[in-house]
Amino acid sequence: MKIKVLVVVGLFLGVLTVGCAKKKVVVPATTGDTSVSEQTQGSEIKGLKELQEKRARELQELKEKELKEKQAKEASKEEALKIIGERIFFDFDSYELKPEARQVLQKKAEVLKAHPDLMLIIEGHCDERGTEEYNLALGEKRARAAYEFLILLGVEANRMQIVSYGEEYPLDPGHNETAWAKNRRDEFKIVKK
Amino acid sequence: MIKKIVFILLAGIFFNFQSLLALTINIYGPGDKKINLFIAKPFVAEQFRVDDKLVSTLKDKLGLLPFLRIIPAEDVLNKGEIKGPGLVDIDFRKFLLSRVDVLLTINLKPGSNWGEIELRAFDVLRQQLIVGKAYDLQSEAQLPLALRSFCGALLQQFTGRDSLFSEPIVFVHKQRQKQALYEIYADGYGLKKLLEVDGIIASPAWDFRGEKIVFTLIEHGRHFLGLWDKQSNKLEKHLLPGNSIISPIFTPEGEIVVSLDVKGNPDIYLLSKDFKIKKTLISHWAIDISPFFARNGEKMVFTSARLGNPHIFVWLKKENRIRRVSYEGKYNTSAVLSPDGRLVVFSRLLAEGHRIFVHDLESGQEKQISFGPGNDEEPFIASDGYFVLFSSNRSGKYKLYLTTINGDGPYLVDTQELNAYSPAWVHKLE
Repeated sequence: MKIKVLVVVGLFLGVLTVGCAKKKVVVPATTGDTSVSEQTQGSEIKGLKELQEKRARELQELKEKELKEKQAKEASKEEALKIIGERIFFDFDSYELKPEARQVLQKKAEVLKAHPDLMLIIEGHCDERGTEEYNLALGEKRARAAYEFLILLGVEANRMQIVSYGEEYPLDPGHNETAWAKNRRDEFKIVKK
Repeated sequence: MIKKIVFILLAGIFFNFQSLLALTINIYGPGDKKINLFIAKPFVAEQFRVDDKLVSTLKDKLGLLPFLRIIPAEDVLNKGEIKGPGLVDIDFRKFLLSRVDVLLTINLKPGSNWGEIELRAFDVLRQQLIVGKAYDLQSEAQLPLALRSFCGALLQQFTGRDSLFSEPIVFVHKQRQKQALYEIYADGYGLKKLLEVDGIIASPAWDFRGEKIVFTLIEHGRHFLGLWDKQSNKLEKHLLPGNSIISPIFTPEGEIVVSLDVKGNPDIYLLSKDFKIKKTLISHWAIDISPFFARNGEKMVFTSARLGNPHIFVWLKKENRIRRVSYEGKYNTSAVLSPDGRLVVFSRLLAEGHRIFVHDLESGQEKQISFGPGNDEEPFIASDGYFVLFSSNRSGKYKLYLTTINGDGPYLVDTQELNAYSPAWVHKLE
């Protein structure tokens, strides 16, 4: 009877040993072949550790790469927004694009092509000197001048909208030529698709 | 004998003509004729304590009529005292000797309600009553109303028309975030807010019945055609083709004409009742804005930059011909036509700022009628073709001013603390 009990306990322990191998449970040696078993187990553990370290390194690298990419993307977006937000200026009673305005618009076109998710509102503004109705028309012509130039540079027309505010929103509330020069402008506002 | 009869007849005609001249004024003339008017000391029942207020209010209102010269009591014999307010109480000789043309009398007496006021205007030369009004007042607050009504009747008597006291003006009041449309009369009476929006309002204009106002409304980065109905107090917003909606106006037939950039350029279009383009009126590669019609709809003035700078042009409907109006200056805008289509009033930018000019389409003569300081802009002529409103920042803040085609005044229109832009008068059809 005692022998039967011992056999059952032994079998049960054996099953336990096999079932929990992955959990690195060290079963006390019951046989005389101890050195071979220890060596095998030691190499397995070492391999596992290396694998774990490798995986951790890879994960870290991946994270760093993602972070860098994200930062680069953000920087690029920031730069893009900066370029898009750059104003262009006009002469009195004129809607002709000056050479410097064309350069600014060229940069904008590149950014817009690189970021197809961006949509643009072009606002035309005037100084206070003209009359309100004429300034609404002039603001419209100024906004349209930029709009048409961007189309020529390959930006899709359906990504842009224009609006004239005439003299309603001056950048500089002053009543002198310095203020007026700042107020005769196009502003570019981003809207997301 | 025959000679004697002819002489008497001619003399009679002459004197009658002279007496008629004393009562009416040709407001379209050179503006040098004046009517001397004297306001006699009011007859006021003891319970009312308003005599100074009565005369000062009356003087304020009549002071807006540049063809009237109000004579002070010191310049009239016996300080212009009269026995009573009626015809039989007045000795006209002393007024005649003091060169008074028109004598005003006031009689405030107890009535069935707060009181009753009688206002009379006499032709001194003919010793006749020319305007007589009596008002039964419910309260003292109605007193100014009675006085301005009488002034309107007097203006009607002198000029044949009363735009000043009977036709409302709409104007734009601008705040940092909101803008509003207000109504007022040229004498400062009846200031009232009509509507307010979280956006920009530009170029309000009445229809020819004084029932609707059309204007440009800019909200949420878009232009709309705003249409406000006085009776229902409802605002409609309509999107139109193109991006920009500039200077909408009613035609005498009640249709709307507006400048739109349908072809990438502001051109002038006639809209259908369902706010679609019905007809192109003016089309050019340059800016074409600010249409304005004469009362018969046969002439329309507008501003165009087709010559490089903004100038005034007139479109003759029958001939479908465009004629240039302004030749001087480099920046002429905001033209309006007198109801008879003869005078064009517009704003010209000079070195010292914008100034108002009148151009006679018949003679080609041009006259400056405002002289600053600051900017005098957005003129609007009354339906009598005589009074002209404009906005000016001469006081540092944009306000409304009243002048005439002869450049009289200008007189400040009291909009209280409100800044005021883009005034537009009703041009009611006769």
